[in-house]
Amino acid sequence: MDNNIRVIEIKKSIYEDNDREAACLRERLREEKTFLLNLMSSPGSGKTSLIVRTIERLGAKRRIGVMEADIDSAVDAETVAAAGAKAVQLHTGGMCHLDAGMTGEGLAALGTAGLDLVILENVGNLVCPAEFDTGAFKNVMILSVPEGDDKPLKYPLMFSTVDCMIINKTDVLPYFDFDMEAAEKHAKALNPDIAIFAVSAKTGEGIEAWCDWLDREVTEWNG
Amino acid sequence: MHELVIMENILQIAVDFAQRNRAKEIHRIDLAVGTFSGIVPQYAESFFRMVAKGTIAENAVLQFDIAPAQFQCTECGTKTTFTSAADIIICKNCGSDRVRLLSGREFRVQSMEILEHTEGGSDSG
Repeated sequence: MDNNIRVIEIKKSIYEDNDREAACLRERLREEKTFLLNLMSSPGSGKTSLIVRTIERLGAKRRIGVMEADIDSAVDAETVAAAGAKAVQLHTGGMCHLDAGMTGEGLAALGTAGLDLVILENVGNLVCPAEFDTGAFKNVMILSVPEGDDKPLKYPLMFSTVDCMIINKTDVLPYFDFDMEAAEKHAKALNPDIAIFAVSAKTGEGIEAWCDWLDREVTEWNG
Repeated sequence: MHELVIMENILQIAVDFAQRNRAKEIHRIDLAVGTFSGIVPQYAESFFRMVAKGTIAENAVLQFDIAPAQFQCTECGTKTTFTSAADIIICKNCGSDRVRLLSGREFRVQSMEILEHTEGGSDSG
């Protein structure tokens, strides 16, 4: 028996399998005419409240499903179901993000037949979810006023990969040193094409503009 | 934060290729890591040690080759290269901060050095 040392070429991306799975999922959703939105943010920035507002505004026109990927509890799915959307709670078992495989399983559990729009509420985290393609057609993040306008500088990947940034909790602006212009400037420096909406999921301010944007995107996708 | 999942992927890719090449052991894994990949080599290394325990990659050395990031200015079109994610990202030509990331997020297994297992037989000498 001989032993021989050899160097072999691989050139394979770590994300290759996930990217392929995500592309397949997107293709399937396009055929089914279901728009998948990946919503990301820190914990406590108002993802669930924003989803509830979005359902209230678009629910009459669009059939909406929601996948909640909170680490534990079924509180979020119950809140969303009460607002009138079809909802499932995904238990990610402590994972810090969702990948295309887990998203696919969630979609199967939800049942996408007849749904125009599915919102994936990703795990509350500004780091990991940015690195995995879930198969969503648009990626949206929420930055809430109490988090500060410097977040784009600290989490550049998240801000550079999303299509849209929602600045939530504008109702508390008077109590925080949050510079709206600085937040927009930092985000646009990383991502010149980013769409930005300032909203308050509490008072409803700005929700209309955000929902109009989303509705246009859904129309474009669903043909 | 999810270096663990990523290191499991790397281990799987490495072991797959090693088995296809009838490797007995993996000596070294060469990784190409973009400056803006968000991967911290020292964490990646410690997670790899955890997941590789008991496999043919247990003693493999991880070689991180950091690939620079390239940005293109949306105003004047100039491409600027950065080698640190901590740099201030502005166009070297016009100073604009409206730049778009072209490359620098990649994370690939480039190659690896293996100890090959060749069956002894009448033709092995």
